[in-house]
Amino acid sequence: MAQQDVLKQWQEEVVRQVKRTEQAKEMFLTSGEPEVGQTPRDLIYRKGKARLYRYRPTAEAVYPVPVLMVPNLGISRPYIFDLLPGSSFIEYMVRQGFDFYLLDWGIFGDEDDGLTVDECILRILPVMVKKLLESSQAKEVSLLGYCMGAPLSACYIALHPEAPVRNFINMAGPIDFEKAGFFTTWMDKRYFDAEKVVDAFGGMPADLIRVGFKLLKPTADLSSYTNLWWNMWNDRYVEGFKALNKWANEYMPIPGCFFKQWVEEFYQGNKMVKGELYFEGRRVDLSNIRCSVLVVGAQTDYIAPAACVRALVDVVSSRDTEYVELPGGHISLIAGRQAATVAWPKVWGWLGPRSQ
Amino acid sequence: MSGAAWAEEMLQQWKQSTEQGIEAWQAMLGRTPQPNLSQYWMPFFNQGASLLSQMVREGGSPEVLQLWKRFLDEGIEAWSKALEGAMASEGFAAAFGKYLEQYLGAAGPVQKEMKKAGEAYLKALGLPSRNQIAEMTSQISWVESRIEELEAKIEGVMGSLASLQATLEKARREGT
Repeated sequence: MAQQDVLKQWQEEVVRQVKRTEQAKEMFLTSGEPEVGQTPRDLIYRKGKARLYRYRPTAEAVYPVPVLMVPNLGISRPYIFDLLPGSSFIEYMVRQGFDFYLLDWGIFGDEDDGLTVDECILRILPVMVKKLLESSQAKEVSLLGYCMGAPLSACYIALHPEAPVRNFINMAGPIDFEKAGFFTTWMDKRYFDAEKVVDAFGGMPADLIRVGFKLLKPTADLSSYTNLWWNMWNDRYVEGFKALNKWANEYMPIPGCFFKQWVEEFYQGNKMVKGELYFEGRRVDLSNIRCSVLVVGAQTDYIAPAACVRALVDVVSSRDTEYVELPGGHISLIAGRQAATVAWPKVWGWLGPRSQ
Repeated sequence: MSGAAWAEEMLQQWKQSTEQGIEAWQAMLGRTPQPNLSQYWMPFFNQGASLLSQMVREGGSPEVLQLWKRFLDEGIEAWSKALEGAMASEGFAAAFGKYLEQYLGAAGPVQKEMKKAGEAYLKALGLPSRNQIAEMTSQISWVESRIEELEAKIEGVMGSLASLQATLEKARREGT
């Protein structure tokens, strides 16, 4: 390499280094919070802590079948789906012309420790679907379950075959819990007693959830901070990092009764996929799911490994099913550059023609 | 030193550091309290920083920085794989379960005592306790649910009335 080129490269590197230092100072010395969840929306309905939001349409033509996104309950906040303008799954879907609704389960406290999975599936989800249909004036709806939201949605559809669900998308949602990787091993009933946790704390505290998730990938923080340092000269990268980092460190508790049921019946008993799960005496039979189904797994998902997500296509009765496994991890499906270029267009491409 | 020689030297250092790190981790695994992982990460940073300063002193090309970043990423990934294998084991699950049980045994009673003491204090001040507020919130939720049920019933009745009215209208029109 010519000496001049080397010199030029060093100059560029010095400029980057100066920018890195400036950004680092700003990041660590100021407490500016990134503004997340900016896509305009309206509150349609509330039940207990749960909220149903409708995002204001921006596209000229809107698909006649609205979408209800059902995220995880507790653990983390749903603004990951609407992180920043230009990096938001919800903003993307609204721009493609979807009438998009989000179910926010809410932030739980001691008063919610009596909330059960039954309540979510038999009362909250049905009323949210009903209110959505009233507000959109639509006859059918597509459900998009992410992470824990997918098995909850699957139970709802299976128990309400009469519900007008046209399409169901499972994004990184565990179905066959025997294949749920680390969590299956760690929450084995020989080693993990959910009742003791609930007895000690009332619910599953956010700090313990943090420990569990950090243990899944102990090098994740190191990796993300190394990448941050490397890209710190890039304003856009830093902005995205701040927002994602805020989300990744904001853990939410899970109500006690719900957590106990979730661990014992889903993880330890794997009852949903075996057809042994009952809510208020009603058996969850996943073969009752007959709508079009798209299952999206991620190749390096430690929270819901692809094999446990994929299981849905084998148990439903739907004629129109598709399984797709995308590169990346659990979050790469919903946030980040890879999500925007691979996962979101896949969801749109599948859902669009089925929402006419 | 040429860029290729730098790269070779860094690769060797990276390999050595990765192997040492993995050995250290494996030796520590299973001990309680759990090891502080940052003590294993720091050598990577220190190694990078010293290589960087050496490179600047000796006038190497900044392309080597890219190479170092790649080694670092690969090093972290190698760590991750090594940890993954260890943490997916039954042994880790058992150790973690035991640790959690000990933690619950220690933290649970403390938490309960603190709650009790807090409630007594609030009671003495004539203020509602967390439990009382939680109970009231639950009652409000219950009332909300009852209202929703009533709303649904009223909607049902209204629907039935509308259909009855339509039937009557039709019958009247047909003169029956």
